[in-house]
Amino acid sequence: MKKYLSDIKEVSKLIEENRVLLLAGEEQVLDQLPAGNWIAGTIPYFMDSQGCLLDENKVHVTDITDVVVDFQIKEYDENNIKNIVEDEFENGFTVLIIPALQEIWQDFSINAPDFPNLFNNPLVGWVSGVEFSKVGIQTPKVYLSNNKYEKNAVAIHTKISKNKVARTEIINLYEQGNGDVIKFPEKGFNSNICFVNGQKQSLYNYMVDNKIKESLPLVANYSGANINISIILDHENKKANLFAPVFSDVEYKFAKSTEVNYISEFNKTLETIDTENIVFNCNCLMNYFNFELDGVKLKNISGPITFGEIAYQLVNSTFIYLVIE
Amino acid sequence: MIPDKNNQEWYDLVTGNRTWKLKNFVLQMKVNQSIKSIKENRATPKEMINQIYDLCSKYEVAVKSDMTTIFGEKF
Repeated sequence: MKKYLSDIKEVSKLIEENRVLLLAGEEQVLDQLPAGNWIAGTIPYFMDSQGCLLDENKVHVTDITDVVVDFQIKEYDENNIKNIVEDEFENGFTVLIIPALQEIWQDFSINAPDFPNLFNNPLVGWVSGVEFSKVGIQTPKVYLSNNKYEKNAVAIHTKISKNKVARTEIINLYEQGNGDVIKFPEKGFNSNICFVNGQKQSLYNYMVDNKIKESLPLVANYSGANINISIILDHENKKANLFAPVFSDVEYKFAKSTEVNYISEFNKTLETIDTENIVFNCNCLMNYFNFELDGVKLKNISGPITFGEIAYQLVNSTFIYLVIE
Repeated sequence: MIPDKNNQEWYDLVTGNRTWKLKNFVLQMKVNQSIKSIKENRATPKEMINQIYDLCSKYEVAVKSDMTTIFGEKF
């Protein structure tokens, strides 16, 4: 499948040739692209053939023209995001891009697990962001063709041939540790109060008191699927900021604290996958930072490195991919 | 062929009465949703068996190893 880093001129040419494209890049670069069959999100971090990198001048291209037989591009706000599954084709997949830290990001993340028929077709995607030092200065954006949005999300619904099936998988090298069971009284992002083995406590205090590394996510076990919640500690306000929502009916544990050799383990897992069939993939910025992926080649993987990944619901610190078979 | 819906293992799977180490991501997620929905009386075991059976039929190749794990020789 065609996934690679390119420049404005080449991407503009593809757009003018009516290719159906999923794009990622910095805002000032995406702003220069012509109208066409594309959606995009802002992010300057990528996995590519020369290794993982930060590049503020290139555009990452995922060209899905040859795998789809029909498509529809749509903008979503907090009122209609609940309809995203209803809008899918009968057989296909949907790629959704959401701007980080906006209401729609929260709304989708909290409510997606309850969307009816969520698992009928793959719903994948990512959370757009900015170069990390610009968080709070610049806002992440998404694009529906050359229309730019700060608060809304965009999606492309695709239809694939009847004899094909699209499937989503994840590679998550984190798993639950053997530590305390952590539950939250409410679903959402602002759950600083939690119950540790049934005792009410501040998540921030618990992490500080127990010297739990910020780089370790909370992990939930969904019948064998490990779903991460990444955390950044706000020492000034004594708060643990979550990058995906927690749910009151889910038990969490911090990930195993043993060091993960990400590159070796990731590449080993990739060897079991036919990467030629991967249509779309993305990885998490937390993995890029925590495992020092800058300059590291992840087999023949190319894709954006994001502020959050969507595999039916928002996940963190996870490589997600979509295959068509 | 996906095992018949009348097999006891389907009921045990969707209700969480028994757990198996599943590998396929969408099956893991769907089983998790099923157990939760039944526990909260938002769905019946029969409804969830139908839904998971359909999902497994769609992803027959991808869930092959999970079907063997769950149903053993019946699969």
